[in-house]
Amino acid sequence: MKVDARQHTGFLKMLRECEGTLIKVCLYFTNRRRDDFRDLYQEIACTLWKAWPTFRGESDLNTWVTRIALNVSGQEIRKRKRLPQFVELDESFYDILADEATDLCYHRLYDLIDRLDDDGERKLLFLYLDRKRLREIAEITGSTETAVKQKLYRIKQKLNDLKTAEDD
Amino acid sequence: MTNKSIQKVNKVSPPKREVNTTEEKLNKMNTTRPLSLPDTQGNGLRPCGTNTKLSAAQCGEEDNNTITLSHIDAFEEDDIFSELRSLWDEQTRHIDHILATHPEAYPVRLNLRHRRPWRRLIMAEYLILALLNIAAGIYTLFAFPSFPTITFQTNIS
Repeated sequence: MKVDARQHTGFLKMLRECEGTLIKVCLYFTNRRRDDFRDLYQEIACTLWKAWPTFRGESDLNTWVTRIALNVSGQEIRKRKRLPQFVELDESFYDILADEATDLCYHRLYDLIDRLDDDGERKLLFLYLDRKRLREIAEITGSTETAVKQKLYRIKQKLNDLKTAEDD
Repeated sequence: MTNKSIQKVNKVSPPKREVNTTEEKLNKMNTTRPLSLPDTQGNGLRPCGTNTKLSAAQCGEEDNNTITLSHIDAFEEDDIFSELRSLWDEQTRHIDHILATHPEAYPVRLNLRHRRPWRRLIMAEYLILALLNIAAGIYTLFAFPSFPTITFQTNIS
């Protein structure tokens, strides 16, 4: 693949701008395991690089990146489901984002989220938590705003049920 | 709800007055709740398309004539979502802080060159084998054009 210098610079700039979003996607979809995190990040970055020449600037850059990142994450999740499950070791993402004070925060945050087994629901919740607007969520997921709202409502109920079951 | 929305609500809400005539009473029974009223059951936004009658504002739909709740922040009244969101915001702040303070120190870096080279190797191997097969076939065809005939004659003798 021939690399145009300007294209390359633009891509790196885009990657830097959206790095926060990419990290959040990777943390969200990988059970915070270091190797999985890196693999997913790499996979998303490669897909973005391939798709970068086709970005026409019609949508917001972050929306475009999020859409691709979520699609790649979905594919990776499906792929991972076919593979044998590995035992999670203690060495996890904590040494990447190491800070004892934030450990508890992450633990609490993902405790419920990880129990959502539906990929679509997980994607929606990610977009909602990441403060995307309803129109953006609909655009990224390819559905209508009303459908998004319905699904979010169901997710909320599901999370409430999970939490209630946990409390009991 | 933002200040702007609240102002809109104040403008739109009709003043309360007694319902006097029968027609008015009937109308009141048949219509949905006024757009400016919040959900009295404390559920925040409720889904459209269910058997419950909901106004456009309660569904969060954008409508030029009514109050808009286009941003789903209305969900924030709920415990579970607000709790998750506050944790999420904390995570975002943490990540932003790391990226701002250590822009080059973050362990994950883009590495396009070493991306699973074995996959390409296997593909290349398949390609070479296929090409060799084709080449061998063509060579056989041109080098021994009468090969099938010879075999036939040998069998007869």
